[in-house]
Amino acid sequence: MKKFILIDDDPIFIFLNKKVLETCSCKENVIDFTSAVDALEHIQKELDDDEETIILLDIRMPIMDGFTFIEELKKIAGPKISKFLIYLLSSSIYQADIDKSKQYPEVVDFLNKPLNSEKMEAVCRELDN
Amino acid sequence: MIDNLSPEPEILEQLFPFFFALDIDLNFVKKGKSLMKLIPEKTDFVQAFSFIRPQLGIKYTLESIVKFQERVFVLKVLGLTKQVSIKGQFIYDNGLLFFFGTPWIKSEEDFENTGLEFNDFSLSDWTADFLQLNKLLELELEDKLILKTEYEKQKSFYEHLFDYLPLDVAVLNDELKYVYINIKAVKDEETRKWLYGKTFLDYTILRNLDLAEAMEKESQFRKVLEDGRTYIYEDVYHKDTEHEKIMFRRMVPFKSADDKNFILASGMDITDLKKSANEILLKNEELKNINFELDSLIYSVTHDLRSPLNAITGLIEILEQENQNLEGSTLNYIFLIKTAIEKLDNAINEILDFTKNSRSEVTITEIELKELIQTCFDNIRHENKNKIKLRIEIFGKNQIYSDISRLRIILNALLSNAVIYSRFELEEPFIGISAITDEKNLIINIEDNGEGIAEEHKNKVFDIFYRASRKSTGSGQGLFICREIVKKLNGEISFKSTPAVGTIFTVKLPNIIQ
Repeated sequence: MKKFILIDDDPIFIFLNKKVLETCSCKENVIDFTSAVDALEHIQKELDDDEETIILLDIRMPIMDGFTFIEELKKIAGPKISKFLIYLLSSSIYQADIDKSKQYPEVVDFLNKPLNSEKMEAVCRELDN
Repeated sequence: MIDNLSPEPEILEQLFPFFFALDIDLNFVKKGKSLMKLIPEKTDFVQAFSFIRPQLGIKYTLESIVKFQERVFVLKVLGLTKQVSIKGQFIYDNGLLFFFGTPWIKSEEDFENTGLEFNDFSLSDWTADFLQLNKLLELELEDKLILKTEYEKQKSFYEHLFDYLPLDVAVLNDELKYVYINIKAVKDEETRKWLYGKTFLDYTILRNLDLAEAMEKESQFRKVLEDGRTYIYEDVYHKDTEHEKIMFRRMVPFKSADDKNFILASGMDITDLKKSANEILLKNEELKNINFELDSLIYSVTHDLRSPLNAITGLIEILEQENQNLEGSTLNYIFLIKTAIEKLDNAINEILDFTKNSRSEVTITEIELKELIQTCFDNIRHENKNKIKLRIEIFGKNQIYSDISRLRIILNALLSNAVIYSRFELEEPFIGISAITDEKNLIINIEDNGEGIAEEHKNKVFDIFYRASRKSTGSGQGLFICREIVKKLNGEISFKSTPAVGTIFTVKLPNIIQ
């Protein structure tokens, strides 16, 4: 079983991304958070769960941004970090962000907002392989 | 035997043409032929001569003269306009007092106007030789004098030159003592003169300055002599006051022609220079900060603008997906909303492109030119794009080297202009791209048979926010950014256009093969 976690401070994108995931072949267990802090709390609780977790993560968020979230996740997950696959989402992709993401092997790819079925299908195919 | 040896008066006269003989009462008995030129016929001894040497105790008596027989006599010939003295010795012999001597000539001047000639002297007399020699010496002396004057003149010229230099100049010898100081360095003459032969340390003590610092400097000076390395330092006087003065000093090792070591010290007042440099640095820092803030502002504004825009796009897509049987005006409204979104998105992209160009470094990579052009064309969204016939021709290698993100922005702008301003009413609207690539350059021509650019707009199309056509959908930055990017890549951009015929844009960029 795959598990999806959506993190975006904008509820419209949460709504949109959930919609897109629903139309997708890999629609499964989807949980969403409008705060990275809440998401971390949830992940900590279910850390013992071994199922693969895909995180669609917005970069620019108040209080805790995407990169800080990854740092914190690594801290709490320890060796279990390997079960997380992270896709970074942004409305505008900056070279600086791409460069920064290279430090994190957990980041699989960058996705341009808004997500649509086409993009999501591509992700699903990638995950199945 | 002895009588035989006594020379005849004629022989005496030849050997000593200035000789004379006196009887015991000191009357002339005989005068040499040359002496007769100096003394009139009937003059007696007392009238003819005065004693110059010896002077004390000598009297005009036979007894007195004989007493001084062992001494050299100098007799002044009296009654002459030009003074002549005769140097020689008296010999008393058999009732006669002989004097043998010759005029005391010490220089050419002594000889002149005496009425004497060289043949008045005996052959063994060295007076003539002496005069000759003297003349040579005098000439040499004269030459030396001339040389010395010339040398002094030159020396003072150069020293003067140094005094007028806008630099402090000093020369230190191998004992670190001052051997030269120009006026600019030490204005007070007394101090300057005092400093000659003194060291920097002596000066420090005189002026009651920081001794420890001076000793450190002296050890550096010594290194200049020993290692032959230039020592550069700055002196700050009256630090942090209104009269602050900064001197830039340079100690250069210097070897004279005779292999002696010196230090050539120079100092320049760089107070003003330093001040303006500091101001520039500050201003630069300020500008950097402002620039950075501006860029950050643009980034966050564009992000904040784009985020809700993307939300709208996503929502519309879902609206369409979930309502497959929309019709009529609703469908039209959705289409209009999408067009408006695209316009706004383009405007944001242009602002971002411009910021990126001014901010990021040029990065050169290998590019497949034809494929890049095709992709750029494919990415253009326009309702009538399919009516346009696209032709791409590459002359030369398809692999080129440039900054791909910048080249993409240029191609996007020129291609979307070509699409937007196409005359779709024509039988065959087309865009023809021909690229010529070689080792050094790549030239890209983008030709269309669109509406063209009217004469009155031609020198304005590259201006920022200038929009020459109603069809313009962007913010009027496209060609402005294009030109800025081409500039950044050290290239050129130009165009030819005829209204209602078409336009050719030509971009020339360096092909930076790595």
